Amino acid sequence: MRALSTAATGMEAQQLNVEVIAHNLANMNTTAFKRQRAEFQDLLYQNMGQVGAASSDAGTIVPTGIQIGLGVQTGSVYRITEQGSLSQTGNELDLAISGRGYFRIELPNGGEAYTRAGSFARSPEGQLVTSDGYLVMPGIAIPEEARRVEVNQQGQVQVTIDGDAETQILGQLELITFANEAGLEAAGDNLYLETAASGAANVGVPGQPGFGIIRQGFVETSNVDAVTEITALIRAQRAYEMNARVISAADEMLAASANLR
Amino acid sequence: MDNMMMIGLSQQQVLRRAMDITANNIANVSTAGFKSERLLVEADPFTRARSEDGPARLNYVAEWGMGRDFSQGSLEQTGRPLDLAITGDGFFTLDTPQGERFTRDGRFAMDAAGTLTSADGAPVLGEGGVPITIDPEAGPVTILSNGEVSQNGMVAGRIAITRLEDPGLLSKTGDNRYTAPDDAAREQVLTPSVRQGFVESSNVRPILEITSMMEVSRAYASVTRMLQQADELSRKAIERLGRTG
Repeated sequence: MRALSTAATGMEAQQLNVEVIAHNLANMNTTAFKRQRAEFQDLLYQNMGQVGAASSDAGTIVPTGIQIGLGVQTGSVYRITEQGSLSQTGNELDLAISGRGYFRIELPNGGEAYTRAGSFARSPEGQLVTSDGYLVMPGIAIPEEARRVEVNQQGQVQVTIDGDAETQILGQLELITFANEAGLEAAGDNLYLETAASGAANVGVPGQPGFGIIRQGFVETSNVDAVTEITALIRAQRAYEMNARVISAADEMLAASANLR
Repeated sequence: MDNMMMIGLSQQQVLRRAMDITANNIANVSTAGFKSERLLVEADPFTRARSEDGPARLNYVAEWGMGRDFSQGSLEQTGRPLDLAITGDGFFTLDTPQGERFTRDGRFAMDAAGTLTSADGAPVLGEGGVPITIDPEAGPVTILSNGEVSQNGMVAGRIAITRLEDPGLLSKTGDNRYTAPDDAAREQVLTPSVRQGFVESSNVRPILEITSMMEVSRAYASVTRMLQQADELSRKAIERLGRTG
């Protein structure tokens, strides 16, 4: 009885769907989190009567074949890289990207990662680092005596130092874009890694065509929409129940046959 | 007596297959662009099991084909710029390593080179069988309802929407795709209707499927009862005949 395994693939798919929704809802308040979506595809088909096959010597053909589908599979879990809304924090080292682009982060192992979560901080050495203490590239060192750090929309970092009327330019933040952002690999901790699917990193300056701008004192919130997720959850649960019904109906049919004698 | 068993068996086989198809429909209730299917059943397809002086006509049951419901699935708004849905006739055309494939699942993506592809990387064909290439750096992509892809006012190509004269010739290959025999008549839809930011959801109607599932399982149970009664009848006949003999 194929119906049993077909319905099982349906239940498995809906379970994955619920898992993805749960992950989205769990990250509703994660800075710069991008929601994901499970995409399903139909599985293999078994051909019982080949459509277009000759049904007689006179050249007549089978107009509609019989193809029995064997269920559903997960095509991909896609990340939707829509802009999240910006929320004001007033913290001078909270930097949000409005538009395309990622900050580049140096990992402790020397590798590079990318993030949109711009809630940065100062390291003991005065370097601009992420909340995990990873260096934001290119390294920007903020002097100890700095009174206020200013980051403009073009990513220029300036400081005012006590006893100095002029502001000092400390450096320039850069943004990275990818041809296919959905192809980045999520590494956890709000970090993404470059892959063959994402394409090579393009380095640019905020405000340049194709790159976003920087907003100081804001963080990008998660782009998860609770209402959408909850309706998706209801749908997934109902679909799961329906597949379970199919299993019990197929089971009844088998039991009826088994009890023939 | 054997005829009764055989007729019952033929019906049970068909019902099992109908159940398999219903199970597949329900499993694909959230598969974008999926089209539901139904088994077409006919009575009496075989030569009748009777001779001139034999019993009256018998009706076996068999399936003769499968109907696919190509009706429009409802559109779901996603807001993603590369999610496309066709309203009305036609299919997107994909260039896969196995050859040309058709699909109604318009959840496309862009690969590292900027080519518009399906989720597994098969290029989406434009007019003239050319893939559509977008510049990833050149800003947002706009897709008009006639399938024209443009960026910053520059036209990058037009998505080809193919219509088959006889959609019955399509067979499913899995992955939301269809294939058609090479000689099947096809044409490009001149005035397609493509919606950007929408996904066509599955056209499986859950209530219909659940009722058809109930129908199938009840019919199966009643055939089973009939078989049991036939068995009982022959057992009683043997007992009775055995006693007089």
